[in-house]
Amino acid sequence: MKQNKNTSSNNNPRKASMQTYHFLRSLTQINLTRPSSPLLRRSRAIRRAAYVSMARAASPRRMWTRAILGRLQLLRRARLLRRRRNYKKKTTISTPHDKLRRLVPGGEEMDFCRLLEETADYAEFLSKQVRIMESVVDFMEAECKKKEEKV
Amino acid sequence: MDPSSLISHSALPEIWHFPMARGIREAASGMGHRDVSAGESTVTEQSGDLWSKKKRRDSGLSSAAASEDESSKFLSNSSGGNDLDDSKALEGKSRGENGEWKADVEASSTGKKPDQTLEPPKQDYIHVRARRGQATDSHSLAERARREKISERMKILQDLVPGCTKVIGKAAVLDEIINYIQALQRQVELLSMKLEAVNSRINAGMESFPSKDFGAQTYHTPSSSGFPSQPTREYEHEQGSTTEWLHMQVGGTFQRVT
Repeated sequence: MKQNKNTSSNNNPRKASMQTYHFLRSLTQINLTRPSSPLLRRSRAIRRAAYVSMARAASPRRMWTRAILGRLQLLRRARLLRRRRNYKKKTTISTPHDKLRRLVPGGEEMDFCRLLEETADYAEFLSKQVRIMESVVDFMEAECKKKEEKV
Repeated sequence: MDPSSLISHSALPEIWHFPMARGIREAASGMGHRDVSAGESTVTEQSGDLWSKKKRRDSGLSSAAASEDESSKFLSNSSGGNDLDDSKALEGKSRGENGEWKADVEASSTGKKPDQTLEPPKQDYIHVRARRGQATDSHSLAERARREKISERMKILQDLVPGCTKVIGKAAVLDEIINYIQALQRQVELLSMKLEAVNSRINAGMESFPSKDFGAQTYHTPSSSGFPSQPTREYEHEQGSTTEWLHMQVGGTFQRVT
């Protein structure tokens, strides 16, 4: 029942547009602030922007959103995360449960029940994000072609 | 928190998958007397190899006896031990060793129904049932409730992940889910690279960056070979407006950037 409610709220077009809005805004931010940084870093920044926009659009009560946003804060504060991640990688055992735990942000701290719930929510937003990005890319390519034709 | 309260009312029919029992239960609950049929149901138990049937009419007696009884295990969430407890204990019908319901139990329970309708309705409790041989301590009860929850969520996830409904087995389903999420994350990564490439191409004025072929080769692979992308209706009809909106947004972006 709870899930049904969630899915209905996720299908809300307004939420989806919030997601695109956040994403595009952070894209412009990236364009403005890092015009000359290396390619890889910029694409990483875009990816981070994608995840953050997902998290912003989703319910703040979700653990994965909090994990993403918390991670962002960590990144900003210091590069603590990298150390932590390395530490975690050493200690993992690869059962399917742990794999899933590593995939879903913040999954390390959840119990399995919660993990499944969060996974469902996360997967939904992720697929939405993919669609948004696809449409953005399509649009930009079209724009490119237009420019080329003009030139 | 009482473990048995973890199981919701709606989940109960699943546990109670014996049609006959369910029918009775539904009938009883429909009348607003959930404990009615159960109240009169006789409790059968196994002692040694013999099936000795003990009929307990008196509800107070039966609950007291049932709690003593090792083989027939009744659980109630109101462990306060009040009158609710009695009715709950009654409702938990003992099951045969093979998981079969005793026919005579049903018969007696149905036969007695009219008398029992006089009892006050008790609906606001949830119970966890233990079958014969299952542990009844709170830990194993909680564990059982948890497993129920997990399987419920697995079902939801299965519906979410495309092509996952045909997969049988928990591990396989989990694998499928993991693959799906991995694929999505990879797709996000690739798309962000692609976006980057297109972006820089626009910014750099096209001729300096041969990202067109590069993009075409690399980025169309995931969508074609990877997961069957689920086309969603609502998104498509919404897409028209979104792209327009995107147009505005991105157009504004480029004006600002270039």
